[in-house]
Amino acid sequence: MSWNSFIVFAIGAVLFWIAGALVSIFIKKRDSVDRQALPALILTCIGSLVFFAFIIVLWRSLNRPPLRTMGETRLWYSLFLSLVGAAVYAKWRYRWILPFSAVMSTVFVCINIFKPEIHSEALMPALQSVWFVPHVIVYMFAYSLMGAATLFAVFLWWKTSRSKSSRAESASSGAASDVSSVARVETGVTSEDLRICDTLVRIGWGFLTMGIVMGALWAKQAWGDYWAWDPKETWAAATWISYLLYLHLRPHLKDNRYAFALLIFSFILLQMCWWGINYLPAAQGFSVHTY
Amino acid sequence: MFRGWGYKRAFGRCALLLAAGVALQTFSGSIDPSFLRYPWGVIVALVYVYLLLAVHLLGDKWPKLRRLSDTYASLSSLTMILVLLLVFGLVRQDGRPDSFLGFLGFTRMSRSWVFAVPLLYFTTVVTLTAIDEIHHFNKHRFGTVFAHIGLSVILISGTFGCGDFKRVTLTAPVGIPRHTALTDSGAPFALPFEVTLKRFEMDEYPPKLFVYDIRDGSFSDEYVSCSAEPNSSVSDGQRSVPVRNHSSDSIHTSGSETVPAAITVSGAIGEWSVVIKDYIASAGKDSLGYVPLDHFGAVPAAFVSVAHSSLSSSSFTGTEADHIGKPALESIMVEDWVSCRSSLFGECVLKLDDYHVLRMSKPEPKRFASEVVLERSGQSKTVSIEVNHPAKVGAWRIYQSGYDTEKGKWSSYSVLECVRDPWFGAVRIALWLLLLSGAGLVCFGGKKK
Repeated sequence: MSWNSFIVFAIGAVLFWIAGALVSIFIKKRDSVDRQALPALILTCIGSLVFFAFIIVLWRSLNRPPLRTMGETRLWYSLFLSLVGAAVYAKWRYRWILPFSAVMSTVFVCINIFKPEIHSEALMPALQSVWFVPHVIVYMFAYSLMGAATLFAVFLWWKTSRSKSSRAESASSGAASDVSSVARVETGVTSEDLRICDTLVRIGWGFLTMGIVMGALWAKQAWGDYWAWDPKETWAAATWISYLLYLHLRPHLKDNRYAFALLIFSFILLQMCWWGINYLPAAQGFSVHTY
Repeated sequence: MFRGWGYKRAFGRCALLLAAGVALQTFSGSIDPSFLRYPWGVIVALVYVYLLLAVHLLGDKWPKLRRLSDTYASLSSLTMILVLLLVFGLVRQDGRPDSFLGFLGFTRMSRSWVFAVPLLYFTTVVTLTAIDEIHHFNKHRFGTVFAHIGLSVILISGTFGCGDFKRVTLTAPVGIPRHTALTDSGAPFALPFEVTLKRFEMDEYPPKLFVYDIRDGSFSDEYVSCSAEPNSSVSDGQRSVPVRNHSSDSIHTSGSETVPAAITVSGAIGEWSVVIKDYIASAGKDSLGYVPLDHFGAVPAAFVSVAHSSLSSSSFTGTEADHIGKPALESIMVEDWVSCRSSLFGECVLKLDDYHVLRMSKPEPKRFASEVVLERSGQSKTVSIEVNHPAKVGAWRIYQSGYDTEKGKWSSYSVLECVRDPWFGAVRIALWLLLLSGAGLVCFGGKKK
């Protein structure tokens, strides 16, 4: 069993994820979905299990954790994104989350099929540390949560804009008080929406914090510095601070679109930290983390 | 987004601090942290914390002092640090002074006043918040409290402890005691202990065979690995080959298990089918080919047969046993030894056609370690130092850094890095607090209303 088997597992997992997403879309009564939601969750989780089975098989065949290359981190990202989607759906029953997480996971699966970047079983001595697996997995989970939070931010921004334009239309037509306009205003962002968005970012930031600290403890053990201002570390700090700014700023904002914009901006920083520095001229030749 | 007098005042303060940073950078140049050497670093840190405690305690009497840790101060300092970190990340940190960015110290941001002054302000805001949270401790907010305390201790230690941080490089030849290392600038530095390298050892991954295109100097993405474990193919069409024991007609694996010599495994590299008929992990070259050699300069060597798949792939790929009785000689294009270069032997490549050759990569290090004797104040101990497993001598830690890469596992010296970081004890506790805070947010972040 090797990387060549990936396509078999990937197709199986993607089919289950899509099936779960479709089932979640076609559930009709949103307020009584506890029982109906179960098939969607089960299908999604089976897809994740199939995908996880491949990761375990690959781990065994490589004789090392598949966490070293960019392609290998994408495997974990696909897995965790599907699990985060399932968790958000299980807790808050947002019907759009499973289709989005399924599409996102599938995109990363496709990148791995067309550009595998998995070639070697060699694990350099610096990576042979007890911190290697938890550091990367925690970071990948944080990235997945922040990916879900970003999807949420885009959705809520769209919802806010739609609500504002509805209100503007109602005001211009002089029908602000009629029943239909009130119903449209209610399509705006609720405090529950914001609470979910904040929760995703808060938990994601917790994972980011754990990842950054594990990296610092590992770096101290490997080469004596817990922080060396390597480009990867600088961008990790920028990402961490940016999400921290969101957590401090959001409760004080009247127009939440600024907060959603900050979340999207933070996610761009996160991409820079994850893979962007491999292409950033300022980081070339300076980072021990470019791979 | 940031409207109101409170924000204007807070961001105005940030602008003034940035201006102060630019002025300091202009008139005094980049920061030399040596002025914070013991005991000055400790003294300045204690005075700083004392002043912040005073600010906190006097906050009720002079409410204006509260502005140093209110919401506006937090948001403005976070925004300022974020902007500076973006500059830090986007500007190449090569230390070149010959540009406007270099003049501002942005090409070596960690030593620039323009970064240090706002960072100190950020540290002040975080520490005042932490002091306030300790004073009015709320067990339900332990995640936030730990995060503020942890971050504060890390920032204070990193700022005022940088003068005591020392990193020097020690090159230790086998059997010769050394107690003088070199700093980054090449100046000698006397260590408070003596290091004698007893032995340097290295485990290596099996080498790989690549097809090299001489037209553009590129290596194939695919390769065949000369693994010691038979039939453990990895990915992308890679195959492994067992190691032949030359003392008998058998093949021995990484353990004591032996398998018949006839079983070899083939692999494919693009359009080329490769069969490794013989592999010697440590070999020397003689007039007939390669023979086992356990000596300085020995190289891995493989005897391979390579055919172009368009000829007769079906009769060539597979095990050597497939060819017994039906050698299909017409399909074999080339057959010879392949080896990588060492300080004693030149590289041996196999020409496949006018444009392609088969080459062996140098084995990658799997693990390297130095067995050293450390002597301090008349007491000595023998320790093994390897990557991720440093040795500790007093306030110093010794890290495995490098070796003679030309000689690889036959290196006659080891490069060690000696690091003294007396503030790390506090930082370690702070990091674990921060880790707990992150775990707290992960476990209870969803329950917060």
